[in-house]
Amino acid sequence: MPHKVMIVDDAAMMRLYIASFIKTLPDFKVVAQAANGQEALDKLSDGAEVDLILLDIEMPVMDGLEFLRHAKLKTQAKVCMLSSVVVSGSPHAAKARELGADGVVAKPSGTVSHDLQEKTGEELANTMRAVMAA
Amino acid sequence: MSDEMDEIWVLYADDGAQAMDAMESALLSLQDSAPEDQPRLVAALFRAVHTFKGNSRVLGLETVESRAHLAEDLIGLVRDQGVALDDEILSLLLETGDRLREMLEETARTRADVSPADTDALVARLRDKVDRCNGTEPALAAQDPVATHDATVANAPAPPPADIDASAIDEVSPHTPDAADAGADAQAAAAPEEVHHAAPTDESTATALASDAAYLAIFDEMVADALTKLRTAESNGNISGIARILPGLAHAARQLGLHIWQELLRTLPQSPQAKDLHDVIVSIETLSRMQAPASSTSAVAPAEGAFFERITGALETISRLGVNFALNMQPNEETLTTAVDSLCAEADAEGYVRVAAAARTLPAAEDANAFRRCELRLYEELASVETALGAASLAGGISPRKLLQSWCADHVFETLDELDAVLERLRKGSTTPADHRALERLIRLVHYACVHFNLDVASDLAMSILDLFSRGHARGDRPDAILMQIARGFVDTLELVFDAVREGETPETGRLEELFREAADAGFKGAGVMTAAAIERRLGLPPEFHRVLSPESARSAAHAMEAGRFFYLLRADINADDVLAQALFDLIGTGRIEAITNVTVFEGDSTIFDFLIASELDEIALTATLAQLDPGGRNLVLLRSLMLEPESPQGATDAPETPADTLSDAIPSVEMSSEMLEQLGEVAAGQAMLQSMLRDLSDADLSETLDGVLRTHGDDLRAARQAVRKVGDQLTGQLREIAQLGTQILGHLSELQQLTATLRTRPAETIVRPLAAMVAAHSRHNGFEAQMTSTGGELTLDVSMLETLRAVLRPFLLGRLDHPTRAPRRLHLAIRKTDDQVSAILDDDGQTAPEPEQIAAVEAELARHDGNLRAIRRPEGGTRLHVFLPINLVVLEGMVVGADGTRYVLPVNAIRTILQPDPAALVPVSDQDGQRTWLRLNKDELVPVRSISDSGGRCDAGHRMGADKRPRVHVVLALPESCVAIPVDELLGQQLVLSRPLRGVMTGLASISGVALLSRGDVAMVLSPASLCAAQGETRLHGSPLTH
Repeated sequence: MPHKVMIVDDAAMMRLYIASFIKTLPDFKVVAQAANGQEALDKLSDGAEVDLILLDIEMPVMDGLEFLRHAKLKTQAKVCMLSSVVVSGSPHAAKARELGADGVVAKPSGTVSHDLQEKTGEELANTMRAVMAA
Repeated sequence: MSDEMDEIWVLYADDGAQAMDAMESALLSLQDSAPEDQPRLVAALFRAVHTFKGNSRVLGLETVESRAHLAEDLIGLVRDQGVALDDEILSLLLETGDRLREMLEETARTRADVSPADTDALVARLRDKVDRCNGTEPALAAQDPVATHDATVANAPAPPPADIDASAIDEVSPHTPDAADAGADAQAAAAPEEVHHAAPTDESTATALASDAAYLAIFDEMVADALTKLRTAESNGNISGIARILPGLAHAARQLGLHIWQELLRTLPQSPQAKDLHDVIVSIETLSRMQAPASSTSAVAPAEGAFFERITGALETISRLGVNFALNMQPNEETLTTAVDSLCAEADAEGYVRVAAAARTLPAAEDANAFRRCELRLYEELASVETALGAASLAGGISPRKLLQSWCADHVFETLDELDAVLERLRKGSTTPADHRALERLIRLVHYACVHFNLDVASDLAMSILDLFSRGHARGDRPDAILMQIARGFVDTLELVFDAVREGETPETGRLEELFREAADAGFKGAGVMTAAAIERRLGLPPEFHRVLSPESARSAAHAMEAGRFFYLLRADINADDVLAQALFDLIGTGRIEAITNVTVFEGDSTIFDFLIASELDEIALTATLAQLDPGGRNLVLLRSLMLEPESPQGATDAPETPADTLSDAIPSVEMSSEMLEQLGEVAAGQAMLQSMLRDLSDADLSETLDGVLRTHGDDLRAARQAVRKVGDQLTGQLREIAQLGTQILGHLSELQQLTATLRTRPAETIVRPLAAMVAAHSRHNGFEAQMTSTGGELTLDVSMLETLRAVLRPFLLGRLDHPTRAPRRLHLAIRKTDDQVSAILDDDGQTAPEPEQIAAVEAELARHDGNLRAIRRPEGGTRLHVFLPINLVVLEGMVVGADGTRYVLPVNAIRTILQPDPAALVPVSDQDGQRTWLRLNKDELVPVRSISDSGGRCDAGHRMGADKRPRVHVVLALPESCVAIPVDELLGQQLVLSRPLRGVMTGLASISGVALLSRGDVAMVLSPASLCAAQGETRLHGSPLTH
């Protein structure tokens, strides 16, 4: 059974890129998408069954760090931060780890990374698998 | 009594007298000091009393210790709480100083504690003053500091290790949150409970809540959203979607402690029917108007009923059972199960599934360590709940976050030791998946300890390091040397920081800030690209683009800079327009513009992106191109073009200047990375051209060409001669070009080798300073003062070499410092470097020789790196440890020479001159060992001549001529203390070479430090000038009367 993934990202194009990349991974399947943390929480409270959440940080309504706090309380799903502001050594990366993010991957070229699959695809897939295996 | 105890009492008397002198001096200075000097003097005063108190405790002098502790409390109020240093305090402290000095003299003489009754009156006055400064009732603080200390320790989730000064931790955080512990001793139990409670009062809870604008704003939005949905349901009569609204609102009100909202929502139907809707809406609207949550501190719930209050009893039980388990008392199964069930029931009711899961692991714990791990996990999960719910959620309950932090602070030295051990295994490459999990857990625990002591930079750095390790682990990479160096530096520095905290001193955190900057750049350094900070500076990027450049983005930007592209900021409102978005990305796909990175800009509910782009198009052309995609110019707006700043001479980053002797100075500059990229580009381009030329050559059929020429000339070879020669010349020309290109590529590769080697170097100071600090800290910890001086810290060494030296020296030093009375007080570490090896010479004045196991451990570690050891007892006392490590992979500028048919490389920096001497300048000299030849450099100076092939270091007149009977060239090598002339047959030129260490039987070759591959593929021996010079006895004569 593939792991069920929810993508939480306010950039519509980015959700498309991520979803299209995940389609190439046989062990993962996108079951839900949300444009912000609140929408993601709503979907979870509506009963969305998710194993892994790929989470952006900078989003309107509810950002990723705020969502992470709530998600850690209300779901057993693993959370992997996928954001342009979590480059190594950044305060956001440290904060995400502090708040319990299971994995952290930086988008390769900004909030809308059209080259996600090409440049960071392998790292993202490895991290997703490592997070699910942990 | 043993000699050791005698010495300890003598030390106590000496140290105590010094502390009392320091106390008196500080107090006298404070009497008429300038305001700006006061903090320094008060800090000195505090340290003096703190030291005295600690020494008294070591010897079990409880009365002395408690009196010093009270004085310390009073000084602490002045130092930390802003209490004014009035005449009363000064007078009281002067009197206390006198009494403490009397006690010191008495206890040093009798070696027993003093009678407490003699100082009762002073104690009462000190307590009274402390109480008044604290603003508390005298009865509240009328407890012995020793009792407070014991009670606090007893209430901790687990006992601190015996070597940790728990009272010092209490001093830093006097309000450690503790619940009453039935197991505490009677003295502690009798202490007023208020002392141990730091939970906020209702008023402070309300204040905290009111200040939490984010949560209140969320609640406001929830209320507005609920009203909208309820009104919609009322108007269309469809109530199918409203069943979850009121329970959700009630849950949020409960989490935020909004008591009045909870009351109202309790009275309303949870699943309102159509007939109820009007009343529900009116009720919510009314309360919403009356009790705007953002300004309603009165709406805060009383302390009753909150989650943490409900689980306090269970948590206390679990904590107590954990403490008992550590003391070998098995937990009562029924008691534990009851507590866990109770906690799980509360957690399940709130939906805190992780908390419940963590709690359920406790009964399965088979030993104290396993229980401790489960306990920690539970605290961590509960701390997550607390983080999400905020301080208001605690009400009167226990704070698991503080419990966790306090626990971690108590055990931080154990944690750091464990972390160091895991790092060592990582370094050796012998880790298991469990080690990686342990690494993350240990760094997290260190983080909590840092938070406990308000060490912000350290706590952030801990999480950054965890982040870097986790990413590497997820990728399946081994941690690189830079990250290991940062982690090691972090552990070393934190040991000192916590030690300083323990000593009541202000910790020095500058080093942590440097490490933090290094951690931020680690990903870029590892990827060999310009740092984000350098790109930001050169492009003058606005703040929103700071710290968002990934290594991939930085690499793209660096390439674009080198290609001379233009840079722009482009605002794109494309989130709601898939067609335009696709068109923009299609344009990016053409390569005419390159998206380096982009950031999100929120305008209301809209998400807009600002792109940093690079393009070959100038501004006019780019504007025209964008206009084709967005003719209205509303969604794609060129914000500005960016001017590329030149690289600054000091290069690197925007980081503030750091002292010259810090690690960050050794981080290679950004120019170096850029240069490496350039060299790589040259190599790649040259290789491609070489391939192309070779392909052309291989495609050409020489025989066919020559046949054609002959046919053209009627098979008349004579007639075709010119044409054949032309073909030959063309071929020769092509081969020359290929050879030249090959030489160029080799040159670039050599440059690259050198740059790579430089990238891996750090000054020896990197390890010497922490070791010196560790010596000072560890000796203090063991009750004495030791200092380590050093030389050679400025030498730059490869990071792996530094790691090895550190791995060898650190445990050895710790072992030497273990004995309180016989350990060395003075140590000196000298780092030296020759062409082929690094040596570290550690001298100490310890009264005992190192234990055989210590020597064996050092030898074993050195053997792994082909190093060796010499340990000797010095005649004047003390020990000398001589550590040798071979230098691996040195890139050096070498002069290639030929002698007796063999190629040799001489380091250029050791060559003083090269000359072909007149035969008369070669002077044979006879001495008792035979005849040797000297070279006269000028009328006043002679240097010995040494043949490379002559291992005895002798050279007779026969060496004047080479095998071809031509006079030999002499290369004069000069070191600071010596000089030697080496006769060679030929000079083959200068080139960069990578010297590799000798292996196997070759290690015995005299004066050879390594082997190197030359550009033509020959193997050459790398000569060691140090060995060549050392082989000569007397190596330079100035105007000596020599006998010819």
